[in-house]
Amino acid sequence: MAGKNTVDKSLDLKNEVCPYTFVKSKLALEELDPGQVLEVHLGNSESASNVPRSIDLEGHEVLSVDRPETSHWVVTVRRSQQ
Amino acid sequence: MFVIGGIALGLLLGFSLQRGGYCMNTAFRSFFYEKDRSLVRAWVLVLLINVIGVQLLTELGVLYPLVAPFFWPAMIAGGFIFGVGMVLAGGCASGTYYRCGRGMLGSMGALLGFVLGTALVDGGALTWLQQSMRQPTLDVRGQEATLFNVLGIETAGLRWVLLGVLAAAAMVWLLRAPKQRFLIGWGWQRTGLVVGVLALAAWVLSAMAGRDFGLSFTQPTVALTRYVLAGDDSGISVASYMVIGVPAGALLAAKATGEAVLRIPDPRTLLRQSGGGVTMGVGASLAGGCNIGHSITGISTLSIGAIVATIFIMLGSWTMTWLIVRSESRNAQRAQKQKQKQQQQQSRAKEAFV
Repeated sequence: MAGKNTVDKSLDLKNEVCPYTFVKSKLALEELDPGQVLEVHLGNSESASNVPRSIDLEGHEVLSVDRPETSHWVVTVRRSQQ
Repeated sequence: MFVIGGIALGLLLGFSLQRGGYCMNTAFRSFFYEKDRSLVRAWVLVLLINVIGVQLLTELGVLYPLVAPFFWPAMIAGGFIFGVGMVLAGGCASGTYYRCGRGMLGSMGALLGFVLGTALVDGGALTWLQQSMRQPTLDVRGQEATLFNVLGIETAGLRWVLLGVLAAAAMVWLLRAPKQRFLIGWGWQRTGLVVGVLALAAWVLSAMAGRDFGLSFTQPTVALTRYVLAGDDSGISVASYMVIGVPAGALLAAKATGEAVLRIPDPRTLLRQSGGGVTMGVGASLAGGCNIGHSITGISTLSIGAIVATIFIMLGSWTMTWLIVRSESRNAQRAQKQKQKQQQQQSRAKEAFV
């Protein structure tokens, strides 16, 4: 699913914990233009569950949450149109 | 028997905290900074089970809950310091314990800091601070400061009316919850139910062992430190065995999902988390409890002190999160400006070349 979308920015937060994971993802998303895609790499299940949920409730479109390795999650998000 | 019972309860708790991703740091922060309330709901469900359960067991004569004196200066300052610390540490007291179990070295740094911070204020060089801040206490006409006594409720009937109203309000809010999306592990319902039942079981097991309190992390940590470092086992209780079981239970849960991986943060983060642990330990030992001892067990007894400490833990965590958001967004702005400047310089250089 993530492959279909060109990723405009990638963020490696595998060694970060909350609240930094959410804060950095949100700020990175706000820097993008509407419709652009952000890819966030996370290293713990709490963040991999909380970050997409919070971003979804902020109104952005969560395209996918993949788990390429046992403790590595990749969240791709499209910035909302506003 | 209490050793085995305590460790078993700790194992189950650690397992559940890991599966549910039950971090009260995230729960408290989300009130203000995020629109997701899933972990707040899990906490409210834990409280619902424990407030009703503790009251019922008290009236049945099974429990004689101990309510700490309302030493308000220490609870206000300690709660706030604890709240600031847990944001820096990347997890509350229980969150730090269970994340150590699955191999996060940042949380191990935070736990060592927590041990140091609690020892510093509780028996260490800063004991005078704890003692002086715990001097002024408030009571309600000579009785302990609980919600019932403040409201002048003396009969069992009225107590249940108040609890019924509070429980109904909590139930309505919980039942109106939207579906929890992007879930990994347990949803808030199961997490709240299991952690709530385990917290209540901790009350019963403690009562059987002659200790009139429920789940806690701060005092047992101090007791374990004293035992390990000084051979003084006077503070060791069934709660200490539970605390030992928590990281082990989390490790078992994380092994099953492949999440038990040693993970080392960058040096700055490790330092921040360790310093956060010290801050958290100082706060918890001043306030006489952490997010578990006050915000779950203390609130189960409707202690005013626990409610006040919890409010200040929240205020501390919101303040620290606000500072982080501010500094991170400044960094982001600065980086963007620098990028723009570079691009301008490059295009200017190109123009000059043409």
